[in-house]
Amino acid sequence: MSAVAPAVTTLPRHVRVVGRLSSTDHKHIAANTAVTAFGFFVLGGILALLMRAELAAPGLQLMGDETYNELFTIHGSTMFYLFASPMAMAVGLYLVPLQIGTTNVIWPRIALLGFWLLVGAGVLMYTGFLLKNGAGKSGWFAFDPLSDDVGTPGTGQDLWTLAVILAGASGICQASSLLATIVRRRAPGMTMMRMPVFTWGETVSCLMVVTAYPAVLVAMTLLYADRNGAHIYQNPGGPILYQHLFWFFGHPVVYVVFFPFLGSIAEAIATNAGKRFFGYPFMVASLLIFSALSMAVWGHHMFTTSAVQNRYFSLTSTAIMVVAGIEYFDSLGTMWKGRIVFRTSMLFAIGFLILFLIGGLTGIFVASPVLDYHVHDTYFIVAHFHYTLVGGSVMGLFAGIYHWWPKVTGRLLDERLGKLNFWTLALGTLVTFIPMFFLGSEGMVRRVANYPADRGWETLNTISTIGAFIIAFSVLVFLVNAARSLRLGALAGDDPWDAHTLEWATSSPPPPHNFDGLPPIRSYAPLLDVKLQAEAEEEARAAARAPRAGEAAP
Amino acid sequence: MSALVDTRDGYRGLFDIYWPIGVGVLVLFWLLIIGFAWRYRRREDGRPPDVHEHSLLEGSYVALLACVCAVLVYFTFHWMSKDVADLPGEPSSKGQTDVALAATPKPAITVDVTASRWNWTFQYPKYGIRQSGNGTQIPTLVVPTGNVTFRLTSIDVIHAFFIPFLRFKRDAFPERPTNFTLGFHEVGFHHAWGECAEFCGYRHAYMQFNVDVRTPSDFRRWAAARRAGQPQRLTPAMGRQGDYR
Repeated sequence: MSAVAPAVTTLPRHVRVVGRLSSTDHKHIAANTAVTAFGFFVLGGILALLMRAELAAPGLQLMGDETYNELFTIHGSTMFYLFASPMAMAVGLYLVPLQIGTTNVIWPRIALLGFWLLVGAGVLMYTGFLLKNGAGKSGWFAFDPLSDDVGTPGTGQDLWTLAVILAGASGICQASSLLATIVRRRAPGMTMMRMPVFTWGETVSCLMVVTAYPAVLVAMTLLYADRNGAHIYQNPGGPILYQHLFWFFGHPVVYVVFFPFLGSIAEAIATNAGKRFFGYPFMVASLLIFSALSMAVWGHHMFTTSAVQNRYFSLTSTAIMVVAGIEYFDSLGTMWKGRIVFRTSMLFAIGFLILFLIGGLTGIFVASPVLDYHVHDTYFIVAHFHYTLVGGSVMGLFAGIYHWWPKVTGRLLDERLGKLNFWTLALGTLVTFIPMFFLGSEGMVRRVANYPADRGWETLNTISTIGAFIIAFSVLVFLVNAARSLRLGALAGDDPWDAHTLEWATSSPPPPHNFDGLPPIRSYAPLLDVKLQAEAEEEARAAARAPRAGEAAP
Repeated sequence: MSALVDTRDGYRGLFDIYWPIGVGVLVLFWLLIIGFAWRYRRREDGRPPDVHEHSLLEGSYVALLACVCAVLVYFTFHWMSKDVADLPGEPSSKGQTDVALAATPKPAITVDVTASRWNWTFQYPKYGIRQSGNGTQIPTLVVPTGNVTFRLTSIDVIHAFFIPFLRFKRDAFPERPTNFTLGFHEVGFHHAWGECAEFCGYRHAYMQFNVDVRTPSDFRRWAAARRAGQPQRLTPAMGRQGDYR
């Protein structure tokens, strides 16, 4: 940092900005992508607040039905295509080269292209709001024929379709770069079975991106053609074909945005407990089987279509619990006999385990077609997947942010604000989404701006709306914390948490070439090995120096 | 032999298995997570013991999970095989026969349900009756107690026919009919308790219908009156109970 910093700051500001935005250093690409994605997270969150405000009471108070349809469409689309999926790739682009001890990703320009495609996708999707017919409004899934030129006319929906194509291409670019790096650029000694759990999480996510995202490119390209005169899907099998293509992408994507953050909490728990991660071979096997299995469960989104073999998809979907259970066992095993320090990252990791469990268990519930026939497309499902995405991915993202922020910025975040951030997010997640389980069970369907006044749903909806604003407050606390840290944060040093993996063996932030030298790599916690060895040697030396007066002669 | 289809049975039966197991596992793991976090909080300096595997315990745990999974899948399949609504194979416009369907008594009536943006139309071919809303007012599905066969289709986009109190929904596709049999058990009027569950655009939220379950004789009286020209009664979407009578 010190060697380059003066040279860079003497350049004019616009040159620095252009340099930063066109940099082929994986850390810059990753930071640009992550900041952009977090910006979309805030935007998507604002849309959610507007929706929750409308739903607080029956009847229409703030907006018309059409506006509401645009809001939930762009909320879901933003959160998946523009926030979670790019964020999953961004954290990997930053950390994986550091964790496997290399200088940069393979094909950095492709990864950079991925960043710019994301920017393009965001611009296209949000431009829709300025047009006469509004933004895309047929849901983040855009089922045909609702999404065709008769069902949803207007340029906004065309732009939405193109935006999804760009976002999907963005994910494929960044994932291929990352995957190639993982396969080809590991430091000497860094075998596959010595890669940190976070890197494994990224590996399986990238595998799913390169296998599943092409399906959405196909679905959306055909949809765009369909909307513009080709009428690809206009036959009795067309809508079902669209759903197969879409969910072949749409289900794996929820795991793509899950594994990197599962990896984050694994690293956070191991570091904060002072122990290397428990059950490593089981965890690696479970991630690989998990990702393979998750490519075979898409039909559970189609249980009510009578067009898929429900038994098959019920079996594969329920079997997910076996591999998912291993995460919990290994997380508990890592805490077992540990010496846990409750830093903010650890709180978020525990919050992940506690809250994701609600989403995971209700996932087993809806994997049963007979139960799904009732709760499908109701608020029960909304509650279920928000526990996996907010309780899981977002909690895991914050665990990762609090864990790696010092490495990326060189400065510490405030722990008191961090704890406020955690407790409000956990509380908000409970208050917002628990009522939705009850609303869904009682039959309140999704994607409605209005609901009957005589069902007694108003109280639960009002509670949920209050919860959404608690979550918003939590994110605000984080933004304050981040801004404060960048200006006033205490310097972090290379290894503030006494961590286990290679990224902590270099300066914070790392130099452009990442490492001046690497420690020997003998396990998936190489830095911990070095520390243990040094401590053992120190002890041996101390023992050798100390007079052996206390010991009795044999 | 049980004469009447009951779509609520499967939901109830599986709910009673899944829910206690789910709540039990939730509480168990919450206690373990919080218990471990508290028990192993840092109380002294130095490194903890380097214990990082227990393959026997972990292997047994995986085997236990696989057993729980097998039990859940068994019960799900068990209820699916009893469920006449779960008809295997591709539905065809000619209608569908199935072992389970054949085993049930002949349905009293057939209703053709046509979903459209944003309206439901119920046609009773045997009686020549047509119930349909008008965009702002919703129609009523009138059925006798007993089994009723539905032929569900859509004229535009995908909709879904959802009756929460029967714990049942099916998607309605254009040019691709879906057939199923539902059993209606108790007489009663269910205000706006039929819903469209699949997002279908602008007025999706208002695409509701009333469900009016009558005794067979009462139903026949209603059908005769309707056939004789009595107009259908519509109620406002999102309206309140009591709008109908």
